[in-house]
Amino acid sequence: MEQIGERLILHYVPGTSIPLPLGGVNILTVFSTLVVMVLLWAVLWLAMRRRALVPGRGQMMVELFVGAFDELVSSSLELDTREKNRKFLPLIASLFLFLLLSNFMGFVPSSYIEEPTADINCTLSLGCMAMVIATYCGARAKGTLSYFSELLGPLWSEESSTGAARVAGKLSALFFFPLNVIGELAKVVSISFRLFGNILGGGIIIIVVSTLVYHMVLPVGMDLFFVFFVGTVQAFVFTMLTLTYIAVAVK
Amino acid sequence: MDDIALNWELIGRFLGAGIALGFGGVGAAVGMGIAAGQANEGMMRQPKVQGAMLRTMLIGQAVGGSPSIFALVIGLLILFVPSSALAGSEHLLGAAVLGAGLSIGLGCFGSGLGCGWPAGAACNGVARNPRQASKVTQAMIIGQAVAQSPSIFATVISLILLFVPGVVTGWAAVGVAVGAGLAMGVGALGPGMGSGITARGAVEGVSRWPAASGQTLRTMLIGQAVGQTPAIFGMLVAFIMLFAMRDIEPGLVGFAKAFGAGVAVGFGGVGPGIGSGLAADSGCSATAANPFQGALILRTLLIGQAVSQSTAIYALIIALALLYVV
Repeated sequence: MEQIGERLILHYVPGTSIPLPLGGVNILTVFSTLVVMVLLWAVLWLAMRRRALVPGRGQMMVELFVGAFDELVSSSLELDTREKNRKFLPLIASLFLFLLLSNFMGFVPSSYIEEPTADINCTLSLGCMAMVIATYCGARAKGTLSYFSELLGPLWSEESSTGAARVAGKLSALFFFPLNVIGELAKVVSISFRLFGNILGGGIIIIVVSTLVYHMVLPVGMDLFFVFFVGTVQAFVFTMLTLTYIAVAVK
Repeated sequence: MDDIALNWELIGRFLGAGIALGFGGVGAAVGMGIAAGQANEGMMRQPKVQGAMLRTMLIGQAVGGSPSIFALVIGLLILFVPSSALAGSEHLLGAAVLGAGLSIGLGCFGSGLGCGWPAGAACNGVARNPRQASKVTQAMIIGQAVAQSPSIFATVISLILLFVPGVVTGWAAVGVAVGAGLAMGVGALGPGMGSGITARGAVEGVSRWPAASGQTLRTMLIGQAVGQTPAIFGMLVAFIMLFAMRDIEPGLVGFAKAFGAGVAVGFGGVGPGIGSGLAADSGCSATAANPFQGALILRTLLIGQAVSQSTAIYALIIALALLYVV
């Protein structure tokens, strides 16, 4: 049971009493992220090593995946040309693959590897990244001024009104601006805490229930559900939310 | 003094375990009843596919029962884990245990009830469209799994309350423990039900228009995920109170602050959770009926949900103001 506390706030290298370096940077997360990156790179390199017109098994898988995501991105963004939609494909596809493999890391039976997504720093930085990209694309697509004046509320850019109504419309920005800014920040919080809570919660539930049943039979099914099923669903949800935030900002 | 401390711990344990199982069981039980009722209705209409329908009902009830199993696990821990393994000391222990019970009990209530609706809709859908039974069942399982997220958050918070030592002491610690439990537990009530309502709409849509199931499921996932934002605010406030409130006043003022923040963000999330679930429910039906406009519906849904959640954001602002500004 003491693993639970260890999982939540790590201060020491597991199994030792050596404190974590750099003011408590979770080296396990950094290490696991590197493992995920290397694994992903290796798998994709192996699959695409011998590219041919008639694809082999590995190339087939990768092509199916990329095709499905191409379809997903273009049907969600609905920009006018295929090239404009395709610009987002590398970001969305690699984000999904990274999250998927990160969530699956909980299945590795080693105390030195844990899901990078069970660390709030990882998911929060990915959420910030999604928001920055969405804001940048929105500002590019609509013009910086008109994009940010949307934050000032619907009455700010009301041109038809005159006199007192116009002044009141401009004053309403004082009310709408902080709310909209907080709403944007809340998006970052919700997208990152959702992934973090689900992955961390699944891991903790597996630990607790496994301890209660003396690690017999049940943990296999729990791993299948919480690691593979919930992990896939949540990776997809995070990716789709990033895509939808971009779509809302751009349109 | 020792005697009183021991009593507080026992009071907390008994109350906490009672709340955990009492509330946590109700939701799942009602949900399973909904599934069984709809299955009966389906059997009446289509007695020939009773095998497929029974299978769907049993799967739906089994997956929908897992929130009550979380509640059972935490309830057993609350009752039987030795005091030495628990965090906190003396009468704080009682508060921590009570908070854990509140969090898991109320949190699992919403998700358990929420998981019943898609199971019922799936039984009905199998009766309506027996050839697509596997597609409908798949949609149901995905919807239920996502609808369980709030109860997973609640499990995390209650385990933290049980096993991780707090950073504050005195009456403030009592407020923090009970407040965190309320923030997470009550905050998960609405989103759990709302996600279930969304999943019900999606499962119904898949059974009516199976060709559009991909688009419908995508709308469902986004709708549920965004609809769970109030529960995430509850989790955020609980985390802040548990880990980042070192300089809260130790006395009754701190107690009131933490308790008030928990009540604000918890109850503030019930309405937005159910409301955005209803919005996403209609979004799923609309996507199923007209999959070619899926992207437009999704964008509209997202904006509508964001606006309907502004009350949850007001609650979050009040909670953060209570903790940091006042």
